[in-house]
Amino acid sequence: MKKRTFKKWLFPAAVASLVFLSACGGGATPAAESGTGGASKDPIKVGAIFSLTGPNSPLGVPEKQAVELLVKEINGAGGVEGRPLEVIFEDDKSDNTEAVKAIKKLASKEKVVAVLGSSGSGPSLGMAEYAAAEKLPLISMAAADQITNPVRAGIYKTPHTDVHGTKRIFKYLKEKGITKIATLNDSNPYGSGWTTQLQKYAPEYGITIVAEEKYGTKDPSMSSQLTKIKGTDAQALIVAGTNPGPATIVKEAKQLNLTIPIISSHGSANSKFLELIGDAGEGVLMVAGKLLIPEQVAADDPQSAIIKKFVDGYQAAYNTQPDGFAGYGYDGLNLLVEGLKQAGGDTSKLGEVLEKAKYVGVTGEFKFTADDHNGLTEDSMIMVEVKDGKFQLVK
Amino acid sequence: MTELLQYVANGLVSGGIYAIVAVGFITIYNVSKVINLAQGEFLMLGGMVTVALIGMNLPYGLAALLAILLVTLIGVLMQKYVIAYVKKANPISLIILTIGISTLIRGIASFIWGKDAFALEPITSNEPISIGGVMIAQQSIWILAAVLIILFLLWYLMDKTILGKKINACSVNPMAARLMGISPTKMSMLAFAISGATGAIAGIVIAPLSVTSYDIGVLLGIKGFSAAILGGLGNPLGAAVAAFLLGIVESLGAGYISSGMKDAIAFLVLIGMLLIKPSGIFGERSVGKGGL
Repeated sequence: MKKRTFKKWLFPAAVASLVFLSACGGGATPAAESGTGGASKDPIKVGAIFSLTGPNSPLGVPEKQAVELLVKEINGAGGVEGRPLEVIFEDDKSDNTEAVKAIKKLASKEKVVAVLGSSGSGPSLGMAEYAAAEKLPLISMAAADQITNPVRAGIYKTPHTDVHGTKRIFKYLKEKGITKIATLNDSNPYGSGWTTQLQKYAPEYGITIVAEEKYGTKDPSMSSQLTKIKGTDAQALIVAGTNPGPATIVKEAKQLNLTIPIISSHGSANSKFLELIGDAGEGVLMVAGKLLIPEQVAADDPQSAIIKKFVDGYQAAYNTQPDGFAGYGYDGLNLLVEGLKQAGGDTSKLGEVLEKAKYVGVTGEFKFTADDHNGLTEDSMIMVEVKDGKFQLVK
Repeated sequence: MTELLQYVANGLVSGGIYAIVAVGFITIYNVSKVINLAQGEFLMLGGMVTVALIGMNLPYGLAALLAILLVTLIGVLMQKYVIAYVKKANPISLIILTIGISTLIRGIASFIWGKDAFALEPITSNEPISIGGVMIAQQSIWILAAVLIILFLLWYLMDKTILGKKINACSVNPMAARLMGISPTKMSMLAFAISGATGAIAGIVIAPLSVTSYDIGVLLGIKGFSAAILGGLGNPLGAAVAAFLLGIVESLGAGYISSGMKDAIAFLVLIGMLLIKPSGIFGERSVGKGGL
């Protein structure tokens, strides 16, 4: 009897372990090899830690793809200062502890000269702690303002922060003469960051926040918050969160006949958002990087050349449009290469020279200074509107 | 006043969703004394399978029907190959088993469809209907209609048919039922089938309201379970009333107190009510009767 029960259990157990195994299989990431380039000299080793599995994988995967593409291009053109570039990839599994483990491994075992990553703010903050102590230059692709604020030697980041997004939205509202707004933000660190910045900069732009609401990332409905906002005299609603929250809000606002304009943060600026909102999303506004609508970037825009080059190359390699995250990875490695060139191959100076780096990237025009290790301004962000199911630049 | 009515209307819709989940819990509990904590996953599967089938260019109605049948089948298989196998186990072990199954289903779903959210077109249009200034989405009306139809059919099945009498018999006294030639195992399988089907229907009607993803079942499962407990475990009507109450309290709490505290307020009310009446609002000493 006992034996029989065991047998019957065997099949589901085997299936379960198979599923588990194959899920783990995706985590292994072999290091990218760069065979070509300056043959005589040793390669310059750079570490890259991205969230290739786990909840942050939609960020980490395009970042890695963009970096891989760029490494090929750089080595094809003879490498950096005559030496080939070797990028060693690690997966932090969207986990803070794994990220710190990975950076320790890269620093001690692989002796990398600098590290890119990670995709998420939590892992990046953990890595920055270690990198700062070890004086290992780090360029993060995560959003949190705290990564480069306060400034630490050798720690940089490429994405726009919530400060840029806030200022850009307020600038737009000021142009439109809107002075009263409501906010409905995710209660996670990303949304709370926005809540703080919106409060902080509102007086500067003469804007009053008449309702400040929150929602939980997994909430199935935000209609009560929207009903409350509908009852106020707010002239616009700002929503900060990552998908799917903002999409749900847009749909429910339509269901409640809330007619004030909705402005979403760059946290949900991708094609998934368009897919989720369907036809309920006409007229929704969004603040985003220019990479969201590469074909609409003006020809005289300083960024237009590099955006076109990046989009064409990425499209050819992966048969899909790069999103903002791919851009963060691309800019990160480009900045690093820029630093390596300026340091004349002397990798020990890398952390310092980056502080003076100026580089026009796909995310924006980076101008690093001693007290700005993000180097971007709100002017590199654009406002877009959803029209006929597509993002349209708001002029 | 309009605002208050709007909160109540919003609450009724969430309450309706919780009600379908709660009824699913109770259908299974009544027959087998098992709390099926994979109930939320039935909802998730209903929505996600429909989205996936529509993605394969099947028409909406057919996709929904196939999804309901598939989830019903999963319910039956779950009863046949897991619950019925370990029938000698005590209810607590069975409950823990259902947690395992829910995690497994969620894992497989995230493996197949990824962690992204998906949208499902509304059954009718996206345009809301205004009733005296209170805006109601057309989809919400579908949800409420689905709740009422499911409740009515269940009531009819349980109270008016021989099959329902058999199910009730198993619930009251399995041994006596078996002596009368009723198979409790079959009745339990039927209960899982009903739960699977109602869960899938719920998952399909709620998906267009917001979005659906591999993990929506967790929160809905908890809310539905709370409603089932609050209503007095074992009483479908009580559970439905409790579910609507929970939805309305949540909505009013978010509107008039604090949206960040929405869930906290709802659960505080739940705890308070259970302290006053531990057997639930409509419960009749169900605590001693069942496995909990």
